[in-house]
Amino acid sequence: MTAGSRIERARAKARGAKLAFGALTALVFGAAFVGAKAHAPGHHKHRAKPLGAPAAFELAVRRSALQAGQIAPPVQPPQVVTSTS
Amino acid sequence: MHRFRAMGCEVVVSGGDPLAAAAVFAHWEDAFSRFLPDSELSRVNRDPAPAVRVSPLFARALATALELAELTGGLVDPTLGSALEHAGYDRDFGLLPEDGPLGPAAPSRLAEIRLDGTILRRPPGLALDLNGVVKALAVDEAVATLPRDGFVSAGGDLAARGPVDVGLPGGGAIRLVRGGLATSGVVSRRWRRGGEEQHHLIDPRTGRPSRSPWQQVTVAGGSCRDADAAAKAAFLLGDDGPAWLDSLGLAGRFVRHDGDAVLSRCWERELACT
Repeated sequence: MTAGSRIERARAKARGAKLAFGALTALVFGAAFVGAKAHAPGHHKHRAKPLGAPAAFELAVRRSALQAGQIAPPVQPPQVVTSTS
Repeated sequence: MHRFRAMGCEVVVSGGDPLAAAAVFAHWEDAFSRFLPDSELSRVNRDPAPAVRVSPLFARALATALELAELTGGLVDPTLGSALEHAGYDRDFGLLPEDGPLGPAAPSRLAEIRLDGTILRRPPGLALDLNGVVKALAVDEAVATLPRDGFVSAGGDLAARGPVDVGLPGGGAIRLVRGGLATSGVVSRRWRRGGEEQHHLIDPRTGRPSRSPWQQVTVAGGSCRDADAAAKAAFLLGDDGPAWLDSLGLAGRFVRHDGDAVLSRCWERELACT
């Protein structure tokens, strides 16, 4: 067995070890990345929804009572005079 | 400003096509008049079957009336058609005889009707009257046809798009900034039966014309529908009317038979703070 072949074998072994270490690192990084995305997202990718009640609920509540209008003192002579119903 | 007659009163339209508004009123009146024998209301009231299929328009109006009945503790009641007839209001107001016999009291039968979609179940002979609700709905629908700021007024009911200055029956004026305005009262529709004065605001608890201390009640609501229902209920509640309106945050003006006016706190506040 020559000294050159021993060196070649050692180099090949080192390359394999580097490759295995790189692959393991990439695998760990990938798993950590996916895990972080799934469990601790930095921000929502879609448009944020308001935290209020759903529109259907708000509508149901609004319809559950008679709604008020708005009046104020007149600013000009009446445009119309109402009678009674 | 355009004027025409519909539903037994003068309709005033400002800010849009009066023909579009007139079509809305004609559509509702054809379906819900108590005095047109071919109206859907007359046909339903005559129908001897315990369950009848009604049109989507009829179902919508009745569903609204039932919803308003719930919101007013049963004071706005669509089952008082017989009570009105027994009190003598059995034909067009202008055709009523001066006096005549008074029929029996006919209290509410609200618990006897049920609406499932367009299927109405009620005992045959129960006479519905949806005219109060229908006029307010017609006003709301007609004002929705306006392409710009304006208003639609029909008798005591008014709805506006944009602010409008309104003269009130019996004097006084306000600016309606948003929503609808309705006045319920016994000023214009009164007749005699059994030697006693009658009117069209029936108290569902007694089945007779109300003996309210008020001559008229005006309410500002988010829509004409809400204003009309609140005005009617507040009228029927008598002395409790102003407090009831305040509990709902609604502005109301009450006028006694001697002309004295009582304002709800909301009415006073809204007129004072602007």
